Amino acid sequence: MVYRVLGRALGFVGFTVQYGCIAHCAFEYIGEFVVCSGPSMEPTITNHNVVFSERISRHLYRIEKGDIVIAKSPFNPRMNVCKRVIGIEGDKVCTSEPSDTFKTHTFVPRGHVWLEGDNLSNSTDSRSYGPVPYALIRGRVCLKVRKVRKFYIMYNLHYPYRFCAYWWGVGFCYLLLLFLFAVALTGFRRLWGFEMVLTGSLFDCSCGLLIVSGFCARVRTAGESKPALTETDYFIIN
Amino acid sequence: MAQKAGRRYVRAFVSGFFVAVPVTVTVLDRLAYVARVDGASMQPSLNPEGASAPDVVLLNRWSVRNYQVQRGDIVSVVRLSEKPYLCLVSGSPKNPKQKIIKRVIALEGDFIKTLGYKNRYLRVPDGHLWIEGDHHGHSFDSNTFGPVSLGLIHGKASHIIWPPNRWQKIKPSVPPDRRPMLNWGESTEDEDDDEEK
Repeated sequence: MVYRVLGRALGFVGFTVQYGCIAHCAFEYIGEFVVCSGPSMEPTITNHNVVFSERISRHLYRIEKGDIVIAKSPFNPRMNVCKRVIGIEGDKVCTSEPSDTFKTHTFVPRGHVWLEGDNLSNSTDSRSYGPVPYALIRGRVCLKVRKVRKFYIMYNLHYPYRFCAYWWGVGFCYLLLLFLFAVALTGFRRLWGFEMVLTGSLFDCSCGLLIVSGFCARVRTAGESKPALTETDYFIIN
Repeated sequence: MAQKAGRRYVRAFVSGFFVAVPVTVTVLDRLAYVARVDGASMQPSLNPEGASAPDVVLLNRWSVRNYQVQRGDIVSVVRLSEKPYLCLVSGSPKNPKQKIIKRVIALEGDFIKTLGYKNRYLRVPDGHLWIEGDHHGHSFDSNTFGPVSLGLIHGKASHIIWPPNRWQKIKPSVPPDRRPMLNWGESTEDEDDDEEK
């Protein structure tokens, strides 16, 4: 009796670890859902929009001029920013305001990109903090989820993560993963001839997905980075 | 009969594959991995014998998941290298990712004196670090490219695991002549005495 319970517990732990690792690989190398907050990318991406960002082009170095990317903020690595790539390495970018008479330019150094938000009047971007190293880019935004019904829970720890649950965005993610894992599990089991008890496999599947959803629900917000007080002042004494 | 046994091995291999690959990738991304140190920029702490007997270090990725590093830690940082190579497929120059292993000299807010940077004195900006190699003349570090963003930290070198006679836990220690002069917004702390190896 005890051995049966222990066996099931070990099996559950094994499934958890396996699904958790598969989820990590999916979110790290394929793509993830991101909740964007802040007005810096209007009208392309508005406040509280859910977007899907893919990681493949970042790992293959295929980020190009004009892409919208999610990057870690250079001044606070726990926050993410969502901006558009205006210049890649070697490009000449204009750093002065449109209203200035005399234009100033700068060259983007190697291994860096120049990011600007679409809403130029209300965006803290490379015009204030300079070119951003390429290795800080997390992914490229490729899809936007429309019609998000607003229901969100704010849970502010001492890290500035916001735990938000949007029914449509996250629910879609759950359903997709449930479908894929159910297919994979039943498919593999039938193909390789393992014995399958219907209730048992569904139980395993749903337990695994509950754990995976713990990873899913950590949707990160990407918006304007609010830099700390004195981020651009170098105290230069010669 | 042999065919059936062969099929069983293939089955076992494929089902094991789907467990092993994600778990290995997750462990290497989140927990720790092992790397060989190349170059002379961290002598004498790492690679004292040079290229003939390179050190192999354990890079702990779990301890830097919240970007908490101390002065004196040896960390590895990701950068795209300054020298591009030509990609044979697309014909465009690509910068390969380089992982640099250096020691953290100053954290954000510290006021330091640099060795050969364009500014003589510098306050390290928020969210950035100042890293330097122990071997000052032969080191491609913050004295060349400036402060490094915290988000670029890849891992902290916690142990030297090869060769066996150099098996040790790496202790954080800042060389006494490279300590920051003062810190804006932090009280001055007394550092422990460094142990010179």
